[in-house]
Amino acid sequence: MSTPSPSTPDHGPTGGPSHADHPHVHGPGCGHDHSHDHDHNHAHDHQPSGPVALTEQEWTRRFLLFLELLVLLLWAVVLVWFYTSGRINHYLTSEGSFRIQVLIGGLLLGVMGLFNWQMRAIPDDCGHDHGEGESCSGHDHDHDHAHAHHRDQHDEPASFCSPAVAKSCGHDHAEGETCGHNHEREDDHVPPHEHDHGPHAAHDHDHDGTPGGRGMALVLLAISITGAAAITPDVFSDSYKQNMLMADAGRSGPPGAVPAQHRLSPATPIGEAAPGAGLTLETIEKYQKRNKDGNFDLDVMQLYYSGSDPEYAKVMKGQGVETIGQVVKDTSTTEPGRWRVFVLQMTCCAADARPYSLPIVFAGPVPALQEMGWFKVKGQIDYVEERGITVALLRATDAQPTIRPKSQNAF
Amino acid sequence: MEDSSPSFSRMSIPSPSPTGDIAFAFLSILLEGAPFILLGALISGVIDAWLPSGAMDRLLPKRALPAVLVSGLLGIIFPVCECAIVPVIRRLVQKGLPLGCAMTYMLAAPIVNPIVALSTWTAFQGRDPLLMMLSRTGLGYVIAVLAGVVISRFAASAVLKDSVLAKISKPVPAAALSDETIARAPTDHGKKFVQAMRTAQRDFLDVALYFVVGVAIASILKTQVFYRPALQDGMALVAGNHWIAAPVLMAMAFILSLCSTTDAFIIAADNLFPAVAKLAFLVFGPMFDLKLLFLYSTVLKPRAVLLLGIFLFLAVYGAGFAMEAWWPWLKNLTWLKS
Repeated sequence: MSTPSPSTPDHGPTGGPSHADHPHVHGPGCGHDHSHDHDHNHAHDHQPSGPVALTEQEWTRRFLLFLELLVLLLWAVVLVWFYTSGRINHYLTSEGSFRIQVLIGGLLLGVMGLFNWQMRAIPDDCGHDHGEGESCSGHDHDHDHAHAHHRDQHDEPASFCSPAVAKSCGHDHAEGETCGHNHEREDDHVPPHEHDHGPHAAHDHDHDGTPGGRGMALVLLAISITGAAAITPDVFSDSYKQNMLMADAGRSGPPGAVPAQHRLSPATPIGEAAPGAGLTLETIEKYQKRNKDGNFDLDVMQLYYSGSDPEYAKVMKGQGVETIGQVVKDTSTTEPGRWRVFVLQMTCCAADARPYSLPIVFAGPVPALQEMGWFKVKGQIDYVEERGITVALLRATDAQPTIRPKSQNAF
Repeated sequence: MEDSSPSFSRMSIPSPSPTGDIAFAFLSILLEGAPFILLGALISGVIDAWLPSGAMDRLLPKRALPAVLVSGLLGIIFPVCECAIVPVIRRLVQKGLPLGCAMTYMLAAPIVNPIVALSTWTAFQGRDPLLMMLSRTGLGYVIAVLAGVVISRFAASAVLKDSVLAKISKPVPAAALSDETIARAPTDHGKKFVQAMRTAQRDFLDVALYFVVGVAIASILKTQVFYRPALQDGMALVAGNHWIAAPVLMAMAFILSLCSTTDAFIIAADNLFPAVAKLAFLVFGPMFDLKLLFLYSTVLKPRAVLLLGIFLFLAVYGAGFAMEAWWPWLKNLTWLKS
């Protein structure tokens, strides 16, 4: 063990996974000191394994790296698939760049996994070619590593990589970067040994995982995303929606200022509370087209928010509108023929969606509405004071069952 | 599938169900967060490969308190949300960033950053937006700094996970970073790139594992427990109680595990809870929620995570009372009324 030999990793081909089995597995770069005494003279000149027979440890590393590749590819496939199939529209808002981030993220994950697999033969700098996979794992690094070295007794895995050390090491890693390992312990090696501490990454792996633990973690990562992707219905169940709606009822206050995406006409510059004083029906007609019945096709959000803007309320009052949403009986009142139409609207992702609703009141006979059914409701929009708040209310004349629209952020 | 649009009914998407609700919520948070975790992991890889150890330290003031104070503001320059910041912090700690500074940055960045400030201001339009934005940012900053100061009094070995601790590199003394040593730095960017990618992959997988567990629990609680009608009855009662309104919203923030750019939109429209309780929701959530509980576990010892959570809870709760006392006065400041 005292003569660095260029081609033989210190631990030799029989290195087992445990400390007991082979105490010298790691070399200078493992980022920790081991509590046993040993003088290790590492073969720093190891070459990328190539045709040389791989050690058992190296096999474990590569197997784990391969598992990592599979997991990353699986995630990549799910992310890219959700994006390209359009299913992403049910999960993330069209606002901002959330959807495209999923595509880019998926592609990057795949590229990263393939790249690292491709580069698997490039040694890490432990002086032997174990990689990030388990490398120094296989034994427990969670203990306090205190190495007794011949020359410098360092008891904390820190000061390595200082320029001075780098100099004495004669190898070419730079002062600060990473390493995360003690080079001081390379006392024995002959100064001009040229080992290349290129990719230090190896040392930043979690040392708290045994190969088995790592494997389990990877399996969990794989099944969680595939399992969820396999069973997700892309929508919340009606009972959950209803629970949310009930929780929300009586709690939501005035809508507040109208968000830009729910305005009936473009906003005035940010910061101005109300659109210009000159808002007329003509302005709204410029941006919201009437359908063949002469009604505006507006979504629930637009109608809901129109109540919070006096200008809109003044202009829109009495206008014919049609909107699509799920309907429920309004239990907050005894007024006959009163229902609510609602949609869930997400802010960023489906999990943050909350229900937005407006009351619908049928003056005449109530059509055959089905609780939680999707309906296209027609009528005149009105604005009334309820609990001290001006709210939009739809005086409905008709409601037809319909299908869930592929609306961008509401579902 | 009746309620699905035709193009989707062709695909065999399962019917909505309680299990489906969990999977749907889980996947939506996962799809939202995963790209940010990858971003954080890639930044971590770049830091690992190219940033000299202790460089962050040199950028910060030498004395501990000013350093912590500055760290709390780093989010303004590097706005990162809470998912992306954890891998970055883990790496920076290993690069010699003092623990107090690292924790302050980690806690403050998701609040004290321009994107979150803007979203808070937008969400609270018509409800004292400026006051809410400023008090959220200010309170977030103060509490993050407090936490940083407290944490910096502990030994790193008491706080950090052993695996993180084992890889801390000592900062290079500034004097040692002479031109000569810099000139001797390896110039092989190809190798550094390999290193960066390996680190990024490892960090992504490490952090994603904890993220997945946290998000799964949050999804179950949110879809199966949180909106249970039985739980709602007491809500109005709770909201009117000045002792428990804020803790209830903080618990809500903890369970919902929202992104800090989103949470203001969720809570702003609530008419039941007082503004100060909403403020507690907005300050506590980005610092400590279910997904963060697990993400922090990639850096900190379990006991440290627990103590941090208790500390943050008490700090936000206590600050809430101070804010409650000042709120009417603050509300009447004309320059805050816009």
